[in-house]
Amino acid sequence: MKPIKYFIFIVFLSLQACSSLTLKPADFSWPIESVLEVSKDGFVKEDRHSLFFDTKNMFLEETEDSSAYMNKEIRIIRDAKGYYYITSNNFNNVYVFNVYDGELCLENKIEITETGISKPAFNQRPPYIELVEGSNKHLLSNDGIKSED
Amino acid sequence: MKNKIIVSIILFHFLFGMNLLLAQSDFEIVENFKKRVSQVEQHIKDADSLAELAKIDREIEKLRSDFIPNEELLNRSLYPNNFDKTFRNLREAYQLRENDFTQIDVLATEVTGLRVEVDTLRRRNNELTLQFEELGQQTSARIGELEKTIARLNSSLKKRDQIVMNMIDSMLTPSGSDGELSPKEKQQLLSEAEQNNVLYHIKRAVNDNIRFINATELQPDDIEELRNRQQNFFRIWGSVGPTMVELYAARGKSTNELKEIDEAFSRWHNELNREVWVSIRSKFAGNNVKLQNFSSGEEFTAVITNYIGDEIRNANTRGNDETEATYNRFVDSTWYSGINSEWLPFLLDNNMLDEKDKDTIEVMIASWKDTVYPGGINWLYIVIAVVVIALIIFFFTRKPQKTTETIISSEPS
Repeated sequence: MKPIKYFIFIVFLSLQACSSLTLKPADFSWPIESVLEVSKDGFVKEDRHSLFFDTKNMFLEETEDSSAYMNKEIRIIRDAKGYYYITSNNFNNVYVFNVYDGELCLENKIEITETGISKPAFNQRPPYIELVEGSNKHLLSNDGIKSED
Repeated sequence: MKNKIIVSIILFHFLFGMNLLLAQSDFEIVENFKKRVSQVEQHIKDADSLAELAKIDREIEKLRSDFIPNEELLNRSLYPNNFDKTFRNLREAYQLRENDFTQIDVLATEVTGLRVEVDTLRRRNNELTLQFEELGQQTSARIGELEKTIARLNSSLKKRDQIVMNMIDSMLTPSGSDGELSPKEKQQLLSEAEQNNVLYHIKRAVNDNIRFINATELQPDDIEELRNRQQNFFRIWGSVGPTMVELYAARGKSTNELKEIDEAFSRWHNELNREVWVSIRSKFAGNNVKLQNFSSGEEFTAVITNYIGDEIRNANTRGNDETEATYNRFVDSTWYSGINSEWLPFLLDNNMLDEKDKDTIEVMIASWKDTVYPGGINWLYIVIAVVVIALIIFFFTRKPQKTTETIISSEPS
Protein backbone atom coordinates (compact mmCIF):
# COMPACT_ATOMS: atom_id res chain seq x y z
CA MET A 1 0.00 0.00 0.00
CA LYS A 2 2.81 2.36 0.97
CA PRO A 3 4.67 2.23 -2.41
CA ILE A 4 1.49 3.14 -4.26
CA LYS A 5 1.05 6.17 -2.02
CA TYR A 6 4.62 7.28 -2.67
CA PHE A 7 4.18 6.78 -6.42
CA ILE A 8 0.99 8.86 -6.47
CA PHE A 9 2.69 11.54 -4.43
CA ILE A 10 5.69 11.75 -6.79
CA VAL A 11 3.49 11.82 -9.90
CA PHE A 12 1.42 14.54 -8.31
CA LEU A 13 4.50 16.63 -7.57
CA SER A 14 5.90 16.12 -11.09
CA LEU A 15 2.70 17.12 -12.76
CA GLN A 16 2.35 20.12 -10.50
CA ALA A 17 5.96 21.22 -11.23
CA CYS A 18 5.49 20.82 -14.97
CA SER A 19 2.18 22.48 -15.11
CA SER A 20 3.34 25.45 -13.05
CA LEU A 21 5.49 26.96 -15.86
CA THR A 22 6.31 25.70 -19.30
CA LEU A 23 8.23 27.60 -21.96
CA LYS A 24 7.46 26.29 -25.39
CA PRO A 25 8.14 25.86 -28.14
CA ALA A 26 11.89 25.61 -27.55
CA ASP A 27 14.55 24.83 -30.13
CA PHE A 28 17.92 23.62 -28.93
CA SER A 29 19.28 22.79 -32.37
CA TRP A 30 22.75 23.70 -33.44
CA PRO A 31 22.97 24.95 -37.03
CA ILE A 32 25.96 22.77 -37.79
CA GLU A 33 27.87 20.03 -36.10
CA SER A 34 31.00 20.69 -34.15
CA VAL A 35 34.16 18.71 -34.71
CA LEU A 36 36.10 18.50 -31.48
CA GLU A 37 39.51 17.07 -30.76
CA VAL A 38 39.73 14.84 -27.74
CA SER A 39 42.37 16.00 -25.30
CA LYS A 40 44.95 13.64 -23.83
CA ASP A 41 42.73 13.43 -20.73
CA GLY A 42 39.73 12.39 -22.80
CA PHE A 43 37.86 15.69 -22.60
CA VAL A 44 36.35 17.80 -25.36
CA LYS A 45 35.50 21.47 -25.20
CA GLU A 46 33.06 23.31 -27.43
CA ASP A 47 33.57 27.03 -27.11
CA ARG A 48 30.62 28.41 -29.03
CA HIS A 49 28.04 26.51 -26.99
CA SER A 50 30.10 26.27 -23.81
CA LEU A 51 30.10 22.53 -23.65
CA PHE A 52 32.73 20.49 -21.83
CA PHE A 53 32.61 16.79 -21.03
CA ASP A 54 34.57 13.58 -20.66
CA THR A 55 34.45 11.16 -23.63
CA LYS A 56 36.43 8.27 -22.23
CA ASN A 57 33.43 6.13 -21.27
CA MET A 58 31.90 6.54 -24.72
CA PHE A 59 35.11 5.37 -26.43
CA LEU A 60 35.33 2.48 -23.95
CA GLU A 61 31.73 1.53 -24.72
CA GLU A 62 32.35 1.67 -28.48
CA THR A 63 35.77 0.01 -28.68
CA GLU A 64 36.19 -1.71 -25.31
CA ASP A 65 39.58 -0.08 -25.22
CA SER A 66 40.24 2.36 -22.40
CA SER A 67 42.80 4.31 -24.45
CA ALA A 68 40.84 4.46 -27.69
CA TYR A 69 40.09 8.17 -27.24
CA MET A 70 43.74 9.11 -27.79
CA ASN A 71 44.31 11.36 -30.81
CA LYS A 72 40.70 11.13 -31.85
CA GLU A 73 38.09 13.69 -32.72
CA ILE A 74 34.36 13.48 -32.25
CA ARG A 75 31.49 15.00 -34.19
CA ILE A 76 28.62 16.34 -32.17
CA ILE A 77 25.36 18.06 -32.96
CA ARG A 78 22.24 18.87 -30.97
CA ASP A 79 18.71 18.52 -32.29
CA ALA A 80 15.72 20.73 -31.68
CA LYS A 81 14.59 18.68 -28.69
CA GLY A 82 17.97 19.09 -27.05
CA TYR A 83 19.45 15.63 -27.62
CA TYR A 84 23.15 15.42 -28.39
CA TYR A 85 24.23 13.12 -31.24
CA ILE A 86 27.81 12.03 -31.05
CA THR A 87 29.94 9.80 -33.22
CA SER A 88 33.47 9.47 -34.42
CA ASN A 89 35.35 8.01 -37.37
CA ASN A 90 35.11 4.21 -37.52
CA PHE A 91 32.39 4.12 -34.84
CA ASN A 92 29.60 1.66 -35.57
CA ASN A 93 27.07 3.69 -33.63
CA VAL A 94 25.72 7.13 -33.08
CA TYR A 95 25.28 7.91 -29.39
CA VAL A 96 22.30 10.00 -28.36
CA PHE A 97 22.61 11.76 -25.03
CA ASN A 98 20.31 13.82 -22.93
CA VAL A 99 21.26 16.27 -20.23
CA TYR A 100 20.40 15.29 -16.69
CA ASP A 101 21.67 16.89 -13.52
CA GLY A 102 25.03 18.01 -14.88
CA GLU A 103 25.67 14.80 -16.81
CA LEU A 104 25.18 13.51 -20.33
CA CYS A 105 23.07 10.42 -20.00
CA LEU A 106 22.82 7.91 -22.83
CA GLU A 107 19.37 8.11 -24.36
CA ASN A 108 19.95 5.84 -27.31
CA LYS A 109 22.70 4.04 -29.13
CA ILE A 110 21.88 3.89 -32.84
CA GLU A 111 23.76 1.27 -34.77
CA ILE A 112 24.62 2.50 -38.26
CA THR A 113 26.99 -0.19 -39.51
CA GLU A 114 29.02 -3.13 -38.29
CA THR A 115 32.13 -2.11 -40.21
CA GLY A 116 32.58 1.37 -38.86
CA ILE A 117 31.35 4.65 -40.20
CA SER A 118 33.81 6.18 -42.61
CA LYS A 119 34.21 9.96 -42.38
CA PRO A 120 30.89 10.66 -40.71
CA ALA A 121 29.27 14.12 -40.62
CA PHE A 122 26.10 15.45 -39.03
CA ASN A 123 23.77 17.93 -40.64
CA GLN A 124 20.82 19.65 -39.04
CA ARG A 125 17.72 18.64 -40.99
CA PRO A 126 14.80 19.57 -38.72
CA PRO A 127 13.16 17.73 -37.17
CA TYR A 128 15.93 15.17 -37.79
CA ILE A 129 19.66 14.92 -37.73
CA GLU A 130 21.26 13.80 -40.96
CA LEU A 131 24.25 11.51 -40.76
CA VAL A 132 26.38 11.66 -43.89
CA GLU A 133 28.62 8.70 -44.49
CA GLY A 134 30.35 9.12 -47.81
CA SER A 135 27.50 9.15 -50.29
CA ASN A 136 25.12 7.49 -47.81
CA LYS A 137 22.83 9.56 -45.68
CA HIS A 138 20.69 8.59 -42.71
CA LEU A 139 18.01 10.65 -41.03
CA LEU A 140 18.14 10.14 -37.28
CA SER A 141 16.01 11.04 -34.31
CA ASN A 142 16.58 10.27 -30.67
CA ASP A 143 14.58 7.08 -31.20
CA GLY A 144 16.70 5.74 -34.02
CA ILE A 145 17.07 5.77 -37.82
CA LYS A 146 14.08 7.31 -39.58
CA SER A 147 15.16 6.83 -43.16
CA GLU A 148 18.21 6.00 -45.24
CA ASP A 149 19.41 6.91 -48.73
CA MET B 1 27.05 10.46 -81.85
CA LYS B 2 30.07 12.35 -80.65
CA ASN B 3 27.87 15.13 -79.28
CA LYS B 4 25.80 12.58 -77.39
CA ILE B 5 28.94 11.23 -75.70
CA ILE B 6 30.04 14.73 -74.67
CA VAL B 7 26.58 15.55 -73.32
CA SER B 8 26.55 12.25 -71.42
CA ILE B 9 29.96 12.98 -69.86
CA ILE B 10 28.88 16.48 -68.84
CA LEU B 11 25.61 15.13 -67.42
CA PHE B 12 27.47 12.43 -65.51
CA HIS B 13 29.86 14.95 -64.00
CA PHE B 14 26.99 17.28 -63.17
CA LEU B 15 25.01 14.56 -61.44
CA PHE B 16 28.09 13.23 -59.66
CA GLY B 17 28.99 16.75 -58.56
CA MET B 18 25.46 17.38 -57.37
CA ASN B 19 25.55 14.11 -55.49
CA LEU B 20 28.79 15.10 -53.85
CA LEU B 21 27.35 18.49 -53.05
CA LEU B 22 24.26 16.97 -51.58
CA ALA B 23 26.31 14.53 -49.55
CA GLN B 24 28.56 17.26 -48.28
CA SER B 25 28.61 17.98 -44.58
CA ASP B 26 27.23 21.40 -43.58
CA PHE B 27 30.26 21.71 -41.37
CA GLU B 28 32.53 21.28 -44.41
CA ILE B 29 30.52 23.84 -46.37
CA VAL B 30 30.90 26.34 -43.57
CA GLU B 31 34.58 25.53 -43.11
CA ASN B 32 35.14 25.75 -46.84
CA PHE B 33 33.40 29.11 -46.92
CA LYS B 34 35.51 30.38 -44.03
CA LYS B 35 38.66 29.15 -45.77
CA ARG B 36 37.72 30.92 -49.00
CA VAL B 37 36.91 34.12 -47.12
CA SER B 38 40.29 33.97 -45.38
CA GLN B 39 41.98 33.48 -48.76
CA VAL B 40 40.20 36.51 -50.20
CA GLU B 41 41.16 38.58 -47.16
CA GLN B 42 44.76 37.52 -47.60
CA HIS B 43 44.64 38.35 -51.32
CA ILE B 44 43.30 41.81 -50.47
CA LYS B 45 46.19 42.33 -48.06
CA ASP B 46 48.74 41.00 -50.54
CA ALA B 47 47.48 42.99 -53.53
CA ASP B 48 50.10 45.43 -54.71
CA SER B 49 48.25 47.26 -57.45
CA LEU B 50 44.80 48.39 -58.43
CA ALA B 51 44.83 45.92 -61.32
CA GLU B 52 45.43 43.05 -58.93
CA LEU B 53 42.70 44.35 -56.69
CA ALA B 54 40.28 44.29 -59.62
CA LYS B 55 40.85 40.52 -59.88
CA ILE B 56 39.92 40.17 -56.22
CA ASP B 57 36.71 42.02 -56.90
CA ARG B 58 35.77 39.22 -59.28
CA GLU B 59 36.94 36.66 -56.72
CA ILE B 60 34.56 38.10 -54.13
CA GLU B 61 31.67 37.96 -56.56
CA LYS B 62 32.48 34.35 -57.42
CA LEU B 63 32.64 33.45 -53.74
CA ARG B 64 29.24 34.98 -53.22
CA SER B 65 27.70 33.17 -56.18
CA ASP B 66 29.30 29.87 -55.12
CA PHE B 67 27.82 30.01 -51.65
CA ILE B 68 24.54 31.78 -52.23
CA PRO B 69 22.71 28.39 -52.13
CA ASN B 70 24.06 27.96 -48.59
CA GLU B 71 23.19 31.45 -47.44
CA GLU B 72 20.70 30.26 -44.86
CA LEU B 73 23.10 27.69 -43.43
CA LEU B 74 25.87 30.27 -43.30
CA ASN B 75 23.59 32.84 -41.69
CA ARG B 76 22.95 30.38 -38.89
CA SER B 77 26.50 29.12 -38.62
CA LEU B 78 28.74 32.15 -38.93
CA TYR B 79 27.99 33.47 -35.49
CA PRO B 80 28.50 36.34 -34.66
CA ASN B 81 28.68 37.13 -38.39
CA ASN B 82 26.34 36.11 -41.14
CA PHE B 83 26.54 35.70 -44.87
CA ASP B 84 25.87 39.33 -45.81
CA LYS B 85 27.99 40.73 -43.02
CA THR B 86 30.91 38.58 -44.13
CA PHE B 87 30.71 40.07 -47.61
CA ARG B 88 30.25 43.57 -46.19
CA ASN B 89 33.46 43.06 -44.23
CA LEU B 90 35.23 41.83 -47.34
CA ARG B 91 33.96 44.84 -49.29
CA GLU B 92 35.13 47.21 -46.56
CA ALA B 93 38.58 45.63 -46.55
CA TYR B 94 38.60 45.85 -50.34
CA GLN B 95 37.54 49.50 -50.24
CA LEU B 96 40.20 50.37 -47.69
CA ARG B 97 42.86 48.72 -49.80
CA GLU B 98 41.56 50.49 -52.88
CA ASN B 99 41.72 53.80 -51.00
CA ASP B 100 45.30 52.98 -50.04
CA PHE B 101 46.19 52.51 -53.68
CA THR B 102 44.32 55.64 -54.69
CA GLN B 103 46.16 57.55 -52.01
CA ILE B 104 49.44 55.98 -53.08
CA ASP B 105 48.68 57.04 -56.65
CA VAL B 106 47.94 60.57 -55.50
CA LEU B 107 51.10 60.62 -53.40
CA ALA B 108 53.10 59.18 -56.29
CA THR B 109 51.75 61.97 -58.48
CA GLU B 110 52.64 64.50 -55.82
CA VAL B 111 56.10 63.00 -55.47
CA THR B 112 56.57 63.22 -59.22
CA GLY B 113 55.47 66.85 -59.09
CA LEU B 114 57.78 67.53 -56.18
CA ARG B 115 60.63 65.80 -57.96
CA VAL B 116 60.12 68.09 -60.94
CA GLU B 117 59.98 71.04 -58.57
CA VAL B 118 63.15 69.88 -56.82
CA ASP B 119 64.89 69.58 -60.19
CA THR B 120 63.75 73.07 -61.09
CA LEU B 121 64.93 74.41 -57.74
CA ARG B 122 68.21 72.55 -58.08
CA ARG B 123 68.80 74.19 -61.46
CA ARG B 124 67.77 77.54 -60.02
CA ASN B 125 70.11 77.01 -57.06
CA ASN B 126 72.97 76.20 -59.41
CA GLU B 127 72.26 79.39 -61.33
CA LEU B 128 72.07 81.39 -58.11
CA THR B 129 75.27 79.79 -56.83
CA LEU B 130 77.04 80.79 -60.01
CA GLN B 131 75.60 84.30 -59.75
CA PHE B 132 76.61 84.41 -56.09
CA GLU B 133 80.13 83.34 -56.94
CA GLU B 134 80.30 85.97 -59.66
CA LEU B 135 78.91 88.59 -57.30
CA GLY B 136 81.36 87.41 -54.65
CA GLN B 137 84.19 87.90 -57.07
CA GLN B 138 82.78 91.27 -58.06
CA THR B 139 82.20 92.18 -54.40
CA SER B 140 85.73 91.14 -53.49
CA ALA B 141 86.98 93.22 -56.36
CA ARG B 142 84.79 96.13 -55.27
CA ILE B 143 85.85 95.82 -51.64
CA GLY B 144 89.47 95.78 -52.77
CA GLU B 145 88.78 98.77 -54.97
CA LEU B 146 86.99 100.55 -52.12
CA GLU B 147 89.87 99.88 -49.77
CA LYS B 148 92.25 101.30 -52.35
CA THR B 149 89.97 104.32 -52.76
CA ILE B 150 89.88 104.84 -48.99
CA ALA B 151 93.65 104.56 -48.86
CA ARG B 152 93.97 107.02 -51.74
CA LEU B 153 91.48 109.37 -50.07
CA ASN B 154 93.34 109.17 -46.78
CA SER B 155 96.60 109.81 -48.52
CA SER B 156 95.10 112.72 -50.43
CA LEU B 157 93.64 114.20 -47.25
CA LYS B 158 96.98 113.79 -45.58
CA LYS B 159 98.76 115.62 -48.42
CA ARG B 160 96.15 118.35 -48.48
CA ASP B 161 96.34 118.79 -44.70
CA GLN B 162 100.08 119.00 -44.97
CA ILE B 163 99.81 121.68 -47.68
CA VAL B 164 97.32 123.68 -45.62
CA MET B 165 99.53 123.36 -42.55
CA ASN B 166 102.52 124.48 -44.60
CA MET B 167 100.46 127.36 -45.88
CA ILE B 168 99.63 128.46 -42.33
CA ASP B 169 103.18 127.89 -41.25
CA SER B 170 104.50 130.04 -44.09
CA MET B 171 102.33 132.94 -43.00
CA LEU B 172 104.14 133.00 -39.68
CA THR B 173 107.18 135.16 -40.33
CA PRO B 174 109.95 135.25 -37.73
CA SER B 175 108.82 137.56 -34.95
CA GLY B 176 110.64 139.58 -32.36
CA SER B 177 112.14 138.34 -29.20
CA ASP B 178 108.93 138.90 -27.26
CA GLY B 179 106.91 136.90 -29.82
CA GLU B 180 104.75 139.89 -30.61
CA LEU B 181 104.08 140.67 -34.31
CA SER B 182 104.79 144.13 -35.58
CA PRO B 183 101.94 146.04 -37.27
CA LYS B 184 103.60 145.39 -40.60
CA GLU B 185 103.82 141.67 -39.92
CA LYS B 186 100.22 141.63 -38.82
CA GLN B 187 99.18 143.37 -42.01
CA GLN B 188 101.25 140.91 -44.06
CA LEU B 189 99.67 137.95 -42.21
CA LEU B 190 96.20 139.22 -42.84
CA SER B 191 96.78 139.97 -46.50
CA GLU B 192 98.38 136.55 -47.10
CA ALA B 193 95.51 134.84 -45.35
CA GLU B 194 93.00 136.63 -47.50
CA GLN B 195 95.02 136.25 -50.68
CA ASN B 196 95.49 132.49 -50.23
CA ASN B 197 91.97 131.96 -48.94
CA VAL B 198 93.53 130.18 -45.98
CA LEU B 199 90.49 130.19 -43.69
CA TYR B 200 88.40 128.45 -46.34
CA HIS B 201 91.08 125.81 -46.86
CA ILE B 202 91.43 125.16 -43.12
CA LYS B 203 87.71 124.83 -42.62
CA ARG B 204 87.40 122.61 -45.65
CA ALA B 205 90.29 120.39 -44.49
CA VAL B 206 88.79 119.93 -41.02
CA ASN B 207 85.31 119.17 -42.37
CA ASP B 208 86.71 116.69 -44.91
CA ASN B 209 88.52 114.86 -42.15
CA ILE B 210 85.29 114.68 -40.13
CA ARG B 211 83.42 113.28 -43.15
CA PHE B 212 86.19 110.74 -43.68
CA ILE B 213 85.92 109.59 -40.08
CA ASN B 214 82.14 109.23 -40.34
CA ALA B 215 82.32 107.32 -43.63
CA THR B 216 84.81 104.67 -42.56
CA GLU B 217 85.35 102.20 -39.75
CA LEU B 218 88.84 102.72 -38.48
CA GLN B 219 91.39 100.55 -36.79
CA PRO B 220 93.53 101.74 -33.85
CA ASP B 221 96.49 102.49 -36.14
CA ASP B 222 94.33 104.62 -38.47
CA ILE B 223 92.86 106.51 -35.53
CA GLU B 224 96.31 107.02 -34.05
CA GLU B 225 97.49 108.54 -37.32
CA LEU B 226 94.37 110.72 -37.63
CA ARG B 227 94.70 111.83 -34.04
CA ASN B 228 98.34 112.84 -34.60
CA ARG B 229 97.37 114.71 -37.70
CA GLN B 230 94.49 116.44 -35.92
CA GLN B 231 96.68 117.41 -32.98
CA ASN B 232 99.41 118.70 -35.28
CA PHE B 233 96.92 120.67 -37.31
CA PHE B 234 95.31 122.06 -34.18
CA ARG B 235 98.69 123.02 -32.77
CA ILE B 236 99.58 124.98 -35.93
CA TRP B 237 96.16 126.60 -36.04
CA GLY B 238 96.63 127.45 -32.34
CA SER B 239 99.74 129.43 -33.23
CA VAL B 240 97.98 131.59 -35.78
CA GLY B 241 94.29 131.49 -34.89
CA PRO B 242 94.26 133.90 -31.91
CA THR B 243 96.32 136.44 -33.86
CA MET B 244 93.87 136.20 -36.74
CA VAL B 245 90.94 136.77 -34.37
CA GLU B 246 92.69 139.78 -32.93
CA LEU B 247 93.39 141.22 -36.39
CA TYR B 248 89.87 140.62 -37.62
CA ALA B 249 88.45 142.24 -34.50
CA ALA B 250 90.78 145.26 -34.79
CA ARG B 251 89.70 145.87 -38.35
CA GLY B 252 86.03 145.47 -37.59
CA LYS B 253 85.68 142.26 -39.61
CA SER B 254 83.41 139.41 -38.67
CA THR B 255 85.14 136.71 -36.65
CA ASN B 256 82.37 134.16 -37.27
CA GLU B 257 84.45 132.20 -39.77
CA LEU B 258 87.27 131.92 -37.26
CA LYS B 259 84.85 130.70 -34.60
CA GLU B 260 83.52 128.13 -37.05
CA ILE B 261 87.05 126.83 -37.54
CA ASP B 262 87.52 126.50 -33.77
CA GLU B 263 84.23 124.61 -33.53
CA ALA B 264 85.21 122.39 -36.46
CA PHE B 265 88.47 121.47 -34.73
CA SER B 266 86.52 120.67 -31.58
CA ARG B 267 84.07 118.54 -33.57
CA TRP B 268 86.97 116.75 -35.28
CA HIS B 269 88.40 115.87 -31.89
CA ASN B 270 85.04 114.61 -30.60
CA GLU B 271 84.35 112.62 -33.76
CA LEU B 272 87.69 110.90 -33.43
CA ASN B 273 86.88 109.93 -29.85
CA ARG B 274 83.38 108.78 -30.83
CA GLU B 275 84.85 106.73 -33.68
CA VAL B 276 87.07 104.91 -31.18
CA TRP B 277 84.09 103.81 -29.08
CA VAL B 278 81.99 102.95 -32.17
CA SER B 279 84.81 100.79 -33.51
CA ILE B 280 85.20 99.00 -30.17
CA ARG B 281 81.45 98.38 -29.94
CA SER B 282 81.33 97.07 -33.53
CA LYS B 283 84.19 94.72 -32.66
CA PHE B 284 82.00 93.20 -29.93
CA ALA B 285 78.97 93.18 -32.23
CA GLY B 286 81.02 91.32 -34.85
CA ASN B 287 81.25 88.42 -32.36
CA ASN B 288 77.54 88.59 -31.56
CA VAL B 289 78.04 90.43 -28.27
CA LYS B 290 75.48 93.19 -28.14
CA LEU B 291 76.45 96.04 -25.81
CA GLN B 292 74.76 99.29 -24.94
CA ASN B 293 76.17 102.49 -26.41
CA PHE B 294 79.14 104.13 -24.69
CA SER B 295 81.13 107.23 -25.49
CA SER B 296 83.66 107.49 -22.66
CA GLY B 297 85.94 105.36 -20.54
CA GLU B 298 83.54 105.47 -17.58
CA GLU B 299 80.57 104.48 -19.71
CA PHE B 300 82.62 101.75 -21.39
CA THR B 301 83.62 100.29 -17.99
CA ALA B 302 80.07 100.52 -16.69
CA VAL B 303 78.59 98.81 -19.76
CA ILE B 304 81.15 95.99 -19.71
CA THR B 305 80.86 95.34 -15.95
CA ASN B 306 77.05 95.43 -16.12
CA TYR B 307 77.08 92.96 -19.00
CA ILE B 308 79.38 90.55 -17.15
CA GLY B 309 77.39 91.00 -13.92
CA ASP B 310 74.19 90.05 -15.73
CA GLU B 311 75.86 87.00 -17.27
CA ILE B 312 77.15 85.85 -13.85
CA ARG B 313 73.71 86.27 -12.30
CA ASN B 314 72.01 84.43 -15.16
CA ALA B 315 74.57 81.60 -15.29
CA ASN B 316 72.48 79.38 -13.02
CA THR B 317 69.31 79.77 -15.04
CA ARG B 318 70.99 79.03 -18.38
CA GLY B 319 72.48 75.82 -19.61
CA ASN B 320 76.23 75.24 -19.34
CA ASP B 321 76.63 75.20 -23.11
CA GLU B 322 74.99 78.59 -23.56
CA THR B 323 76.90 80.15 -20.65
CA GLU B 324 80.22 78.84 -21.94
CA ALA B 325 79.44 79.95 -25.50
CA THR B 326 78.64 83.49 -24.32
CA TYR B 327 81.79 83.57 -22.20
CA ASN B 328 83.94 82.34 -25.08
CA ARG B 329 82.43 84.85 -27.51
CA PHE B 330 83.05 87.72 -25.14
CA VAL B 331 86.33 86.85 -23.49
CA ASP B 332 88.24 84.61 -25.85
CA SER B 333 86.97 85.80 -29.22
CA THR B 334 86.67 89.52 -28.47
CA TRP B 335 88.37 90.73 -25.32
CA TYR B 336 91.64 88.83 -25.58
CA SER B 337 91.59 88.64 -29.39
CA GLY B 338 91.30 92.32 -30.20
CA ILE B 339 90.25 94.69 -27.47
CA ASN B 340 92.98 93.85 -24.96
CA SER B 341 95.83 93.82 -27.44
CA GLU B 342 94.75 96.49 -29.94
CA TRP B 343 92.39 98.93 -28.32
CA LEU B 344 93.31 98.99 -24.61
CA PRO B 345 96.87 100.32 -25.23
CA PHE B 346 95.40 103.02 -27.44
CA LEU B 347 92.74 103.93 -24.85
CA LEU B 348 95.29 104.02 -22.03
CA ASP B 349 97.85 106.00 -24.06
CA ASN B 350 95.24 108.58 -24.98
CA ASN B 351 93.81 108.79 -21.46
CA MET B 352 90.46 107.55 -22.66
CA LEU B 353 90.51 104.76 -20.06
CA ASP B 354 92.12 104.55 -16.59
CA GLU B 355 94.22 101.67 -15.34
CA LYS B 356 91.68 101.39 -12.52
CA ASP B 357 88.84 100.88 -15.04
CA LYS B 358 90.86 98.24 -16.87
CA ASP B 359 91.54 96.40 -13.60
CA THR B 360 87.85 96.55 -12.69
CA ILE B 361 86.94 94.92 -15.99
CA GLU B 362 89.60 92.23 -15.66
CA VAL B 363 88.47 91.37 -12.12
CA MET B 364 84.93 90.98 -13.44
CA ILE B 365 86.18 88.72 -16.25
CA ALA B 366 88.09 86.56 -13.73
CA SER B 367 84.96 86.30 -11.59
CA TRP B 368 82.94 85.34 -14.66
CA LYS B 369 85.48 82.64 -15.51
CA ASP B 370 85.16 81.19 -11.99
CA THR B 371 81.40 81.04 -12.47
CA VAL B 372 81.57 79.42 -15.88
CA TYR B 373 84.44 77.01 -15.10
CA PRO B 374 84.21 76.32 -11.34
CA GLY B 375 86.33 73.16 -11.71
CA GLY B 376 89.57 75.13 -11.53
CA ILE B 377 88.93 76.15 -7.92
CA ASN B 378 88.16 72.58 -6.86
CA TRP B 379 91.47 71.42 -8.26
CA LEU B 380 93.22 74.20 -6.37
CA TYR B 381 91.56 73.10 -3.14
CA ILE B 382 92.53 69.50 -3.84
CA VAL B 383 96.17 70.44 -4.45
CA ILE B 384 96.26 72.51 -1.25
CA ALA B 385 94.65 69.67 0.71
CA VAL B 386 97.19 67.16 -0.64
CA VAL B 387 100.11 69.44 0.28
CA VAL B 388 98.75 69.97 3.82
CA ILE B 389 98.21 66.24 4.34
CA ALA B 390 101.71 65.50 3.06
CA LEU B 391 103.18 68.05 5.51
CA ILE B 392 101.21 66.54 8.43
CA ILE B 393 102.37 63.01 7.56
CA PHE B 394 105.93 64.23 7.21
CA PHE B 395 105.73 65.98 10.60
CA PHE B 396 104.38 62.95 12.48
CA THR B 397 106.74 60.45 10.89
CA ARG B 398 109.84 62.55 11.67
CA LYS B 399 109.15 63.16 15.38
CA PRO B 400 109.37 59.57 16.81
CA GLN B 401 112.67 58.92 15.06
CA LYS B 402 114.25 61.88 16.82
CA THR B 403 112.96 60.66 20.20
CA THR B 404 114.42 57.19 19.65
CA GLU B 405 117.76 58.64 18.69
CA THR B 406 117.71 60.83 21.79
CA ILE B 407 116.94 57.83 24.06
CA ILE B 408 119.68 55.77 22.48
CA SER B 409 122.20 58.53 22.76
CA SER B 410 121.26 59.18 26.40
CA GLU B 411 121.82 55.53 27.47
CA PRO B 412 125.18 54.93 29.29
CA SER B 413 127.67 53.15 27.13
